[in-house]
This record gives sequence, C-alpha cells and structure tokens, in this order.
Amino acid sequence: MESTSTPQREKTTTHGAGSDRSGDGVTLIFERSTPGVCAVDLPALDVPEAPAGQGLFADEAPDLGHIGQLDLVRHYTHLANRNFSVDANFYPLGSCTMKYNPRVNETAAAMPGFTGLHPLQADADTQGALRMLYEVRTWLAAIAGLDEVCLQPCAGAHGEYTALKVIRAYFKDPQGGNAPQRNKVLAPDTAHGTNPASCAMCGAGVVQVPSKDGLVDLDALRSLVDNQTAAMMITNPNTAGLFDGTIAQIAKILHDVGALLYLDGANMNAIVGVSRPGDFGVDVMHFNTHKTFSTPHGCGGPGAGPIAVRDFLSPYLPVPQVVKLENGSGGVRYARDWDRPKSIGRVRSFTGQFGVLLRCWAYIAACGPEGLRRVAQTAVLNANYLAAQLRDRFETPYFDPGAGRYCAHEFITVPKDLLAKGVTLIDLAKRLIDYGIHPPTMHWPVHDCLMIEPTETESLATLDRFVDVMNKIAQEVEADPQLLKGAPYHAPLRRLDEVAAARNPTLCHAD
Amino acid sequence: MDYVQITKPQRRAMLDAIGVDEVEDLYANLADEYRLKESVTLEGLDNGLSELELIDRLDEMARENRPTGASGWSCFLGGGAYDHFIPTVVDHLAGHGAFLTAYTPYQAEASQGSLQAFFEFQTQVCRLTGLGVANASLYEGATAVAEAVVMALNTTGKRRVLVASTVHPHYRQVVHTHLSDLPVELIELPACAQTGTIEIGALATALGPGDTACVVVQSPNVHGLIEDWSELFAAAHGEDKTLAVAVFNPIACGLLKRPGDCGADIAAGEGQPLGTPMQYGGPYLGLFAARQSLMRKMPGRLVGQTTDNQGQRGYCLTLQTREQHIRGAKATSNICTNQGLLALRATIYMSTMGQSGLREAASQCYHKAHHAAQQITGIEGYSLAYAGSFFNEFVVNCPVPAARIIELGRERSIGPGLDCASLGTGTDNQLLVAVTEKRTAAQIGALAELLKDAS
Repeated sequence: MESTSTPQREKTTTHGAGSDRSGDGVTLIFERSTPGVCAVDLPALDVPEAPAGQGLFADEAPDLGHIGQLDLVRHYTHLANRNFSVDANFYPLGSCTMKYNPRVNETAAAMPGFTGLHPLQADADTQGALRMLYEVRTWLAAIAGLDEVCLQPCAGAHGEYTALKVIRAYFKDPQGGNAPQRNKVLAPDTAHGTNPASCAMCGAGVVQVPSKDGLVDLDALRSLVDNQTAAMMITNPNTAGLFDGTIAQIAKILHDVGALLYLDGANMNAIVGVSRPGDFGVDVMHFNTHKTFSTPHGCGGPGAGPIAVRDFLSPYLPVPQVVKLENGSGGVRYARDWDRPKSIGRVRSFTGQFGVLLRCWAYIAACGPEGLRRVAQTAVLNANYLAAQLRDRFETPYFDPGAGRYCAHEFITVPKDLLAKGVTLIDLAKRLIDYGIHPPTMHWPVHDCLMIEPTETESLATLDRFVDVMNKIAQEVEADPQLLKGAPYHAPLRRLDEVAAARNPTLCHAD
Repeated sequence: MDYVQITKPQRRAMLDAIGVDEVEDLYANLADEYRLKESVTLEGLDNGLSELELIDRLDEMARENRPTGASGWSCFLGGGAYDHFIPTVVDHLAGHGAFLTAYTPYQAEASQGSLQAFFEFQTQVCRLTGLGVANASLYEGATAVAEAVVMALNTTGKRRVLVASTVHPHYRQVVHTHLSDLPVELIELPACAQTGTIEIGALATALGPGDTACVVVQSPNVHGLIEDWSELFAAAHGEDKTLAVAVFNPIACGLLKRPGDCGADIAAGEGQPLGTPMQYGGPYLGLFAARQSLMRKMPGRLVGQTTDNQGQRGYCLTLQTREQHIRGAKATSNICTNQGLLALRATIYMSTMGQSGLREAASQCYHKAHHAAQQITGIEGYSLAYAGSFFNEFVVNCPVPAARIIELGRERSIGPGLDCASLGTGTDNQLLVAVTEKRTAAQIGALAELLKDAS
C-alpha cells in the first residue's frame, strides 16, 4: 500500500520513466530514427519479382523512420511508465467503471484458435467462435431480461445509434409500429453527451427532460410525450449515481402514448444480476462490455456495445445474427443468419468486436450467475462506503444515509466548502495525481462535482487510503491553497496548457 | 471467480459504517418486484468457472475453429481483412498493463504515455496518407468511411453522395445504413465491366447537378484493382467544393502512391493490416486523415502537442469542442471511444516495420500475388477476371463454382479465397484471392494445385 505522506512541491521521486528524459519530455519515435537500422526482418522473397506497373509505384515508402528493436522496446516501455492505469493506480473515474481487467481474459483473446480466424471463413470452420458468440448473446439477453441481443455495435455510442435505427425502422414499418411520424427522442438533462449526438445521427430531434432532485421530473415528462415521441433514452442508475425508483412509472408514461423506453446501460454495474431492465419496463438497451464486463479500456477502446431488445424489435436488428441450428438427430451447429428482410442492414463490417466479446464471455463464465450479483452488490457497497466516509468534508448532495438516501455504484460530491477557499475542482483533481490516484470524473453531470466510482474489485485498504488522501488534500486546502495550484508535482509532467493546445493545434510532428 | 476482494467481516464493518443492515437496503429505490429473488439463469452456466475450467472451455471452443498459422491452414482470404505478419514485439509491448488498463486520456498529466503514442500514431497516419491531419482512430474501416461521408456532408452543405460500386460492399452497406434516415441522396457509381474500375466518363455523368458533397473511391478496390485516384479526384474537384474521399489500404501505401498525393481531401480505411490479428472481424481500427483545412470538422479524438507550466513538451486531447461530451447533438460525431489499444498496436507495428520494413512487406505482397496469379492463370480454364493492375488481391474466373474449390480446400487446409457471389462482388464462378507476405512459394504452389484438381 502506498503511503499517504504529503508529496512535496519539489520533485523527489522519479515517477514515470524517464530515464532518457531531457527538459523536452520523452523523445519522439521519429527523433530516435537511425537510417540503416530495422526492428524486423522478413524472409527473403521466394518468388520471382513481378514488373512494376507503369507509374504505379511511389518512389519510396512513407517516412516511418528506422529504429532497432531494443530502442523500440525502450521507447514504448518508457511511454507505458508515463501512464496511470488500473493495474498500477486506484482509478475511481465515475461512469467509466474502471474495474480490474482479469488476465485470463487476455489469455483467451490471444489464443491462436481465435486470433487466426478470417472473418469471412466458412461457418463450418469457425464453430467454436460462433458458439462463443451465441452463448454470450443468450447470456446478455438473460441479464437484460429481454428477448434478443445483437452483438455488432463497436461501442456504447454505436449501440445507441444502432438501437435508434432499429426503433426508427420499427415505427416506419406498416406491419410494425406503423407510426412513421414518431421522430422525437427524449433524454434527461443529465444524459451522456452521446445520447443527443446519436439521435442527431439518426435524424431524430432530441427533447431534454428536466430533472428534479437528481431524478426525472415526471410532470415535465408527461407534458412532453405525445404521438411524435419515438422513445426516451434514460440511464438507470442515472448519471448522478441514483437509482431512479420511478422508472416503472416512466416506462408507463411512455408506453401509454405508444413510445418506447431505451436504457443506456453505462451503469449496469450497479444492477447486473440483481435486477433486469426488461422487468422494469425497458424495451431496448445497450451494454458497455468495457464497463460492466471487465473488457479492458485500452487507453480508450476497443469497447463493445451489444444491444438487447424485446421480440417486436428483433426483425430490425442488423445483419448478420449468430444463430443455433438443430438438425433432426439432436446435433447442433452455429451459423450466421443474413436472411432478415426487415433488418436495418449493416452497421459495421464483418461480425462484431469478436475479441472483446470473447473477453466478455470469459468474464461472465468466471463470475457465473451468483458472482454477477456479488459484483453489483459489492460495487454498490463500495460506493456507499466511500460516500459515507467522505461526506463530512466532501458534500454529497444526493447521498444522505440518515434520510435513507443511498447511492448506486457511484456518487457525486460537490465540495462547496473547499472550493470557497480559493481552489478549483481541477486543483483538487491534479493534486490526487501526486498521491498516485487517478482523478474522478469532473464537472459531470453537474458543474463543480467530482463523480466517484470505486467499482467492486478494490480492496477495503485501497478505499480507506483514498479516504485518507481526500481528507489530507482537504487539510492542504485549509493550510495552503497555493500548494494545490501548482499540482501535480510528481507526475511525469507538470500541469499542461490545454488552452494553448487548442488555440494553435499541432496534431502531427513536423521534421 | 468474481474478482471481489471484500471479505465477509469487512462487508459487515462497511455496512455498519454506512448505517444499514444489509446490502439490499442500499437498493432502497429499487422496488421489491424488480429485484431478482434468485440469480439470473444463464444457459449452460450454473456456476462461475475456476480459471482452470475456464481455460479448458476456451481451449475446447478454440479447437472447433480452423485458424491460419499454427494449424497449418494457409489463408488466401482477403476482402477487407488480411493475414499479414505481426512482429512478436507488437503483442509484447501493446500488452503492457499500463496501456491495456488505462482509460481515454482525459487527465493529461496522468496519461502522457498514451497521449504521446497517439500523437505519434497521428503523425504516422499523416505520413502514410500524405495528408495534414489524422485522428487517433475510429471503430473500423466501414464506419470510418461512413464518418468521412458525414464529414463531407457537414462541410459542404451539399446533399448528394457518390460512392464507387467498387468500394467494399460492407462499407457501402454501412454508408447506406448511416444515411438512410437523413435527407441525402446516395448514388452508386457503376464500374466498367472489363476493367473492374471506375471510368472517368461514369463519374463525369454522375457529377452533373453540382450538389455533390463527395466522391468515394477505394483503391485497391474490392476486386484488388488499382483505381486512378488522380484522374477521378481531379474530376471531382472540377465541381465547386466537392470533396474526394479515398478508401485506402495502409500496407499498399508502402508501395503505391498515397491518397494525399493523388488529390484526396479525406482518406479513410481499415487499419487491421497494421499489426492487428484478423480475429474473426474485430476489434479493428478505422484510419482517418484529412487535409489540414478540414481539421475542425474531424470526427473522433485528436491529440495535440503543448507544454507544461515548466515549458516541457507534452500532449493532451484537443479540439474537444467538436465532440459529443461538449456539444451533444451538434457534435461532429457521436463517437466517444477511439480504438486506443488497436491504434497503439498500429503505431508499434509501423515503428517496428519502419520505412524500409513497410516497403519490403508491401513489395512482397505485390510480387507474391502476381506470382500466384501467374501460376493460376497457367492452369487450363482459369483466367483473371479484369485486365487492370492489382496490388495483392485479384479475381479469378474459374471453370467450376468457387464454392466447390473452397470445399475442396477445407480437406487440404487451404483457404483459397472468397466466393465473389457470397461477398456480393461477382459471380458464383469467381474467386477473390489475396496473397500477403506471409504466404510462401510452396503454399502458392499448393493453391495452384488445388485449383487444378478442383476443375
């Protein structure tokens, strides 16, 4: 366990790597280039050379530089040492579910029997891959309490987009929803930014539904729904970390006017295995496998955003779908079904984020039904524990155990008292970096808040250390707010000028 | 194993600290009727598996597949995913936990490793495409092309999109899905039946009304043929503001002229060939670059260079006002994640190969594909479907259905190619054959033998 002794202003450690650091940060790979060196060798060409087509070839390959293998390895090892990660740091980034990424999942995804499959190989030669996809799709449907899952979307936002397309196709279909005028989508004012952006991509208008005390204002919702409404997109537990107990009423308000309820599954880690969205009125939802099901975030991807739907939406799902076929004699085979005449079509090439879904399969298989429930319950326990320990100094507007108000798997704090002492939220966040903790999500879903999500995989010792560090930082604010202004002191770099980066963007290294 | 580290006594103490009796009490707002009384029912999975059991089940599934490589199965399948050599160092470096388990680098000071890697990636993609600005990757090739089209629509304010019929059918279908609920006209440019490429005349005819947002041309195209980007894009630019979108193959950039050198305004493509295994279709990464002047219209994450308060060089996410978390419905795209880990693989791959390695890999693809074509067309009844130049992939007219050749190939552990009818790019008797630097002269010989025996 790392200590909580106060990091000083003067840098005393060599956090991050920088064994080759000059005042200019880490050398760029291009600055290490030495013509004549190469990190790879290919076998000699064992066929005759073919003539070059006239005017076809460029004179030389693009300038990707020249580097030897050891320097290459050192370069990326140095870069790795300049990152915070779940592997090395507590990473309570709200709404991102930075849980431990089990290594056995990586072993699974690296098996040659999976990595070596071409996406258009015959179904007969990929039965194991198809079986895995089929199993994970039925498991996700069971967890959702819905009828069918589509595995194709590449990420949560892509799942939203795909689901909205499916909803649109359903309403356009005379044999389906038969209400082509329904082109309005409602979303709470606390929605993820991807919700309205996804609507815009589908040509749907977005109407914001106001919140009251962190929850959807039902009266406002009633006044907004009509026969133009296609759906409402809602995150539950919501983005403020609260389970909205009126969700079934929300579903009823929508269903009464013929509209659908869409669940943004970003916060499924609070209820996975405990409650099924289908049971509380959800018609369609997406999962984020990289949040709930432990697939690694990889510096921002790859994710996967499978969607689950009720049966009346199934005909519109993208192609191909993975299906299980039984022959008369009890045998089973798996196949890709392209024959879906009402499908919205393709939303990506090939069959989906296979390698990500494989990790998702491995995680669900490791947890099992009872383990999943323990995951959610522990995620909720850890968040409530942190909120309870912190609320003396870090106000928690929606969390008040005395009044029976608890949080789900994450909570927000709006530390007004501390901010009144001359520090900003960014100062608090950057100071956490000095203590080796990744800052929580900031200013979202409300201004001046930190959104804290510990996840279920952290130990009690880590949670307690976080509380100690937060309290220590609060003391530092009381004693010397200027100290925080200069933070971080112990990161690979000091505070970066993001405004300058946007004013005159340099996005590409020039020689 | 559910990877939880809280013990029972700790749990009790934590509940006491919160002031509740049971964890169930924390779900106060979740009505009883919506709580599962028992755990969910998962087909074929009554209990969580131990790691040993888990690996056994994974092994069992993996054995039901016939992968390229270890099993001796030689892969001549292409059509948008290719079996290129991946230097071992790529897996080792990209597998580092500090890359694997970090999030999107919002906190720049805690994320200099990924940020610098993405900055280097952007620079490499700019050099690969000959364009001024590249993002930190999109989902995969097809969605990258769709994003390029949307960017062209937003930039020009025009409502017509021309897509060459020789663009990969999956990409065309994704563009079609993308545009289907928007007031936009999507027109397919027909290809010449003899050359298998887009003729300038066809483009000139289609450009007519003057409200074309973009012209999308893939090269090498879905038949493996090299399109004349320079000529086509010059024609596109004859119309006011119309943008030229090049769909490119990054390995081909090691040998052929780059999109930017041929007049492309936007280049989008599948990045899988750059160090990502085929892994049954994903995850891959979308490559996306554009002219400098289009920078503020770009979708996806962008990393920029800056300095810290001591003047040291560093990197951060930038121009975020384009993005959904700031702009909501007015964002350039709904994209939130990039494909960080795949972009990392790609940048490590490009650094490993370097200028000379990429040239060598691309040249070997070209020579081996041409050798294969020569071997195959030497067999009675086989001929090339098109006369044009190709890179590492070509269409063969066969005397028998391609499906029959593929079936016979299964017995010999050879994937001879893709059935063009199934892919939607040709007839039952056409086979699309891809040859990478990994295929040996012996494997090419075995392929020719297979085709001979199948006829």
